[in-house]
Amino acid sequence: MEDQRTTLISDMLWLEQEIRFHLIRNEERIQQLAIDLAHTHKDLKTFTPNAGSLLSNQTGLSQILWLDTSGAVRAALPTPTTDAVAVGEATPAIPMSETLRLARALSKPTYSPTYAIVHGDAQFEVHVPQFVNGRYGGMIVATYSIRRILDELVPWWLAERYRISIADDGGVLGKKSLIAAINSQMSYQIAFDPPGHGLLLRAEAYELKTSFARNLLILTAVVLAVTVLWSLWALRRHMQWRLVAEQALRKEYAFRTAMEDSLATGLLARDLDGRIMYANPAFCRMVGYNAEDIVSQESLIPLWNPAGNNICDENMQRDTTTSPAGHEISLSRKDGHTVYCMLHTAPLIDGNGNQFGWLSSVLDVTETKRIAEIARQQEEKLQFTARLVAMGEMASSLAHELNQPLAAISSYSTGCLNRIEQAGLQQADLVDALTKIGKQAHRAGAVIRRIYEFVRRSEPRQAPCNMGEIINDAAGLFEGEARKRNVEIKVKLADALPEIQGDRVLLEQVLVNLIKNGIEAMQTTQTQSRILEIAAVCSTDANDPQLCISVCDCGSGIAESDMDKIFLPFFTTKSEGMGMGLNICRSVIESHYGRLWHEPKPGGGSIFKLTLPIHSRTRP
Amino acid sequence: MSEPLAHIVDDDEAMRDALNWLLRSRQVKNATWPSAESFLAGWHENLSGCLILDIRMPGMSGLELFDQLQERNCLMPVIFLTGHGDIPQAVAALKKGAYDFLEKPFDDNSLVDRVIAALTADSARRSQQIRNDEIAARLAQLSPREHQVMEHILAGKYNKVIADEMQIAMRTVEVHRARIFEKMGVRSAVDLAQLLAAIKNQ
Repeated sequence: MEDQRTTLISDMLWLEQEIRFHLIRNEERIQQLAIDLAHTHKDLKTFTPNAGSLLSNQTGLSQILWLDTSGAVRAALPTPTTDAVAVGEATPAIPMSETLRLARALSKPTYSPTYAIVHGDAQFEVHVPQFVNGRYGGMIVATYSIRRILDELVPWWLAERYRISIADDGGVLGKKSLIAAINSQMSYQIAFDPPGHGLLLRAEAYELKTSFARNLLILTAVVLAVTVLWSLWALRRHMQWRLVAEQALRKEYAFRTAMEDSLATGLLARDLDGRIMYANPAFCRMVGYNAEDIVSQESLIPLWNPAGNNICDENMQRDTTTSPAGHEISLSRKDGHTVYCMLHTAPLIDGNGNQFGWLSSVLDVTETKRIAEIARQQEEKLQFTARLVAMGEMASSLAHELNQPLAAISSYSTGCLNRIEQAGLQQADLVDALTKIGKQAHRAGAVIRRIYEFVRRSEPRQAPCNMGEIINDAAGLFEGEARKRNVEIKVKLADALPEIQGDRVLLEQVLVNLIKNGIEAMQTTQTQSRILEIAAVCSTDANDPQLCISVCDCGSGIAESDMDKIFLPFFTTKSEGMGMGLNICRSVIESHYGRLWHEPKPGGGSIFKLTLPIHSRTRP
Repeated sequence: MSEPLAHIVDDDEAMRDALNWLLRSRQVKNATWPSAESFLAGWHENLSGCLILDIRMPGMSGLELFDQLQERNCLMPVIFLTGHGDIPQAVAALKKGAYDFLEKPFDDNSLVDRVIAALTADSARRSQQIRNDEIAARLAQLSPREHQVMEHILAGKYNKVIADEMQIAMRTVEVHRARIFEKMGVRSAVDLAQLLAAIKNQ
């Protein structure tokens, strides 16, 4: 409010000064015109253009008169009329004679009081005396219209803010605007001099309009400021949040990196084409490559073991099922060694639920495998040794048993020979000795017969058993061995195999023996064709129903010359073999009233076939 | 002293009988024992000859019997008969002082040869033992003083020197010397030295 008032006052002071400046300049120009008119004597030719320019130049002037010394009009613009416009009772003669006299007496420009004229206007005059060669030569009277002053000298921007009016004691003489309510509080008036005579210049602020606009402005400014502040605050908050999030992210990232780096387990991310997207240091150590060597490699060949390429492809296929138990793969190290790894794979899924790759944890099981392999070999050796020890013991006791009668026979005969040499042999003694020799020979025979009896004594325990189960059990025992030797065991069982009477343990032992022989026979076979096929079918002969089982390998086969020897005891082609396996197998099968024989497989390999009667028979 | 015999210890009757038949064909007198226990029960210090011992026997084994006999200071030579796979045991027995071992089946006459050799060795050892016992009996007859004098004589000193050293009369030394020679049954100092050297070598 105070600011507004200060502005109002300064505006008014400026306006008053501006108008006064105009009036004084007009005054000077009229004086100049008077001087010019006195010197040129060309009267109208000088007066008309000069006065015209004064009138037309936004000066607030409405009329200029040139009076001679007697007061008669010599020239006038725009009209010579002087009295037709005056209104009211106290209207003096126009131009005002009093002012004229005063101006003449004072010899300087003098302003008249204001008087009302027609059309609600008011005017005042300025009388400028003219001197020709030091004597009074006439008077120039210029008339100001209050309306014109307001129209022409008050600038628009001031008029917009204030209602500007000129007043005297009698009331308002003229005002710039008639519209809008006026703030009576916010007004200011100032003396208007020249022309003086109690004239006042007054300004009143347009209350409502001004206040509304101003309030609107302030409001807008405040709103804007608040918005800016809020924005800043929000921005700051956002920045802080971002900073915290970024820090958390960085921490998380560092944490994850440390985790990945410290892991002993290899981590491997692959895209759907199998290219490596990421590999952690543990994996790089495992395969001996740098991360940049293997990441985004077009081809995977250097990494996957070339020998097991098909297996690897199969593994890639198997990845899609993500078995929870993981599976084993072999990788080629940079130095050419093979690393055996356990692979556990999970799909990588982006935010939209689309899979874009696989993440695998890779566990180096080479050492574990090696240890297991050593343990297996040691166990094998131990078993072999145990077998040898058992054999040794048996052989030793067998030898002792046989040695006794043989040694006795030898001693008797040597004794006889000694006596014959010495010619001291009685016939009775000889008979005695020979009888004893015969007895000992029988004894030796009995020992051998006892061993044979011992072997025969192990009668199979008959019980109904499911051959399919037995085959699967026997094949299952070789799972690890087969994987190690890259042998694929295929079991083809006919539906609904009937049960047979037999000794489960012995029959399983037969199959174990045959499978073991088959696997061992394929040692030199090419990896991809190492297939061992076990098949079981029922024969269709109704009179003699039989179960036929065949164990078929793709191995080296059996030499023609060995064909008729393979079932003989102590015949073997293996360095560690005892040569009893097939012999025992045949014994077992025959004790089950079945048959076991061998056929060469067309295209290399062997087929061992065995038949077992389905209906149990009594022993012949 | 009982007659020297080849003692056959074997659990196998036929074996015992066959060995008996074999040894008799070479005129080697023998006795048979059906087990280690029976032999140990029948054993006495005066038993002489040699032992033919089967290593493998039910009950007490041949090796155990051998250990028992050694504990009892039985010095009879022992020939082990071993079966297949008993060689290390037989070698160990040999180191402990067994006379020999033969692996079954053996060459019968070489067994008899070894038995005869063992019997000879045993009889030699026994006669040596008898002589040693005799010398020991003679030495036991000497008085302590005579023992002292004998040490000096064995050292090869003259009577005069011995008398000086022992501070006795020359005549007394001569009497001691005569008594020693008489008791030991020798004629000279050289004979005495040889007699005692034989004992010391044992």
